[in-house]
Amino acid sequence: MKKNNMVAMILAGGRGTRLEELTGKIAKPAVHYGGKYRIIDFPLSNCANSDIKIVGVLTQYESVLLNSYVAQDHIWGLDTKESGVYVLPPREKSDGFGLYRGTADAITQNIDFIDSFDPETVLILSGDHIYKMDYEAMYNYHKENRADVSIAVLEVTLKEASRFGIMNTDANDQIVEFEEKPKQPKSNLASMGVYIFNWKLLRKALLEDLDVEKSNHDFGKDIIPTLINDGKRLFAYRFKGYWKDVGTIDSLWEANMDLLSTRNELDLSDPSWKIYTQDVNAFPQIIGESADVKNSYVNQGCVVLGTAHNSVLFTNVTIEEGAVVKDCVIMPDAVIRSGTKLERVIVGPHSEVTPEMSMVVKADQPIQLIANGGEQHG
Amino acid sequence: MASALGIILFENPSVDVAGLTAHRPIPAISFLGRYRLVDFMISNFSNSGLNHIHVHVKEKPRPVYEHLGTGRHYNINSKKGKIRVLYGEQETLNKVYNTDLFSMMSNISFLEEDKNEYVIVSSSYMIYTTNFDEVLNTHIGSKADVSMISLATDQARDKFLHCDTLTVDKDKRVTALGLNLGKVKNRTISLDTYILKKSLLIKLIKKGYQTSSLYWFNNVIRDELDRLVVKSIPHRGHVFAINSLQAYHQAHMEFLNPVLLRSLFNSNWPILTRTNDSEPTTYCDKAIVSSSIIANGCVIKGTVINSVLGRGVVVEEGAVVVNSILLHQTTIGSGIHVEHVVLDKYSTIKHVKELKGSKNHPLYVTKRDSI
Repeated sequence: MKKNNMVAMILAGGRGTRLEELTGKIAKPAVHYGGKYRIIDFPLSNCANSDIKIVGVLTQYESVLLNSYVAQDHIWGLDTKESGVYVLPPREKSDGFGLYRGTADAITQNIDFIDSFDPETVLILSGDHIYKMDYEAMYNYHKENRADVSIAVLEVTLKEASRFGIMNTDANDQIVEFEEKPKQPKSNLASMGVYIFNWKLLRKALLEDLDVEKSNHDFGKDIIPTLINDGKRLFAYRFKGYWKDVGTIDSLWEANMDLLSTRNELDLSDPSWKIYTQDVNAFPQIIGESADVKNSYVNQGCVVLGTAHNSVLFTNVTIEEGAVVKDCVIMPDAVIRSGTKLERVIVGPHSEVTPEMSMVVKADQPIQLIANGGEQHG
Repeated sequence: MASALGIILFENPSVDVAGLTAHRPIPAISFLGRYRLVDFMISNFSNSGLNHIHVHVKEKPRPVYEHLGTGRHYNINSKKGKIRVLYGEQETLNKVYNTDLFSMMSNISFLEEDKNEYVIVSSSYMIYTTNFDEVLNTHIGSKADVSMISLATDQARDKFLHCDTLTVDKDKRVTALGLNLGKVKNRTISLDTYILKKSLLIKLIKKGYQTSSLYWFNNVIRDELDRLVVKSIPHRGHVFAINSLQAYHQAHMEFLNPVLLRSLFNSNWPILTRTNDSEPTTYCDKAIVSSSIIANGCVIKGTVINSVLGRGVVVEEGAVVVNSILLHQTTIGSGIHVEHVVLDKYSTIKHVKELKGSKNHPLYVTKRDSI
């Protein structure tokens, strides 16, 4: 990627209400995932691995932890002289102070920031999706098509299609229509919320959208449909691979289970596409004499003296002797006391689970959350 | 906060972890899956508030440079602090002349320009945890010229072989330095750690170097026992001298004892190291793992008992690993049984059915080997 051909902007203001207590004090992109990561590590590592130099992160809801986290740009190797991660919460300007009113508005309010790098294109990403993607390949596709906008799409089943923004395309994958959550989907190409825009065009569209009275200032609802109507060249970029939007406790649990050896669709072992995350002090994993660990994904710092089956254990988790966890997701620094039995449960960070809190959730019931530890900074 | 410069010297030729040291110097040897030996002393320094560190390397400096980097992962202040890798440039190819004293002498200007009043001189093959802030206060309070950290042990027959021993009088003054030849059970072992004023260290280096160009730093101290007040500061806690392949293997096996692990590993005294960004470890359906220490990035399909696995180790289905140390990115093929083995990085066991060393003679498999 040539210097500043493409500036990435990650929308990370999401509240994640349906993740219950997990997002009580932190924004959704900062939620823990996959034994050692936070969700936002994925778009940030993708940017770093795609050789993108400048990444802006637009934060809003409970942003203190997220802001200080992404500001450590050395984590992703984005700390060279010409690169950087810029934390962009709403700010006071000479004409007043405004919250980000929508995904597009968040970009509009940072036009000056993007202008300062004079990029050819802008890559818009979401901070709460889990996937590995080479944005440089998408950029090349964008150039080959002489596109104004390229939108990454995932092929879903027609049944699933009504949960997504759907792109209806012609034979060359040029987008002819965009439908948000259609009841009768005409295509199975779901938008992943990954867009490449020619910056000049987007800049103009954003400023025009400011004057549209009923606009939600949203990419999917306003900007994309307007550009299609204006006859611009929008192309669908077909992405193949694992992609997950973790909006609920169930989908967060499921995404973690996807890492177990029996499925492992995401595959985080590829040395050429590592996902980088904060380096937390931790000892190696200690597996005790009477431990029973099977089909599990375990991170450093864990002390497993009891039983862990089909589970994901995050940094510094302790499973005491005589404790049994099955089909569980146990987040950092949680302690499962001796005699506790958990099945199909997510345990939040720093929680302590005692035998009287034991919980066995049946396969047809929604995943339960135990979170009594809160999130700690630093 | 201690105002001291931390120095890690390289070890004398009696320290040789046969096999492993052919590929890297002692400080860069892997330890407990995710560390290198030098991490323990640097963590002692860093956790004690020392911000200036010199690491002397005898040979093969590349792995040490790579591992230490800027020192950021050791929590050393990147502006006010500094971690330096030093070596005696002219004599690195000459084994006889390449002593720790020579290395300090050739880098004397870095000592002279350092602003700290005290120095803590140590080594990387002695593994223990101690708060040097407290040790320095003890030293200052004792009015000694030099303090040496020591360990009283009743296991000198089996451990700490060829380490220095101290003879200490009732005022804790060191009256003689000797060598542990393993003939006596009870010994006071020198942990090769000296606390003294920086100005005195510079004087001793220059004097010792004039006396003999074959001198090591402990020879200089030995010569000065009559003239200087050298006192012993007893260390309480576990110490491992990683000075042979057997000691290396034995230390790992002892670490598998959970009581000992907890004594060295506590969250108030982190052992700092460089991250490798490995994914968590995958335990498969048929994995059986017990009494083991496992680093990240491993895939375990077989059985692992009483062993230590480095990053990215693969244990295939039906493989059995017992009392062994598998370093970074090694593979044990399916159905293979290994016992008392030290497997160096990137090696693969695929074609033999069984590979066995013994407690006193662990079997070493060289780097990138395929068996």
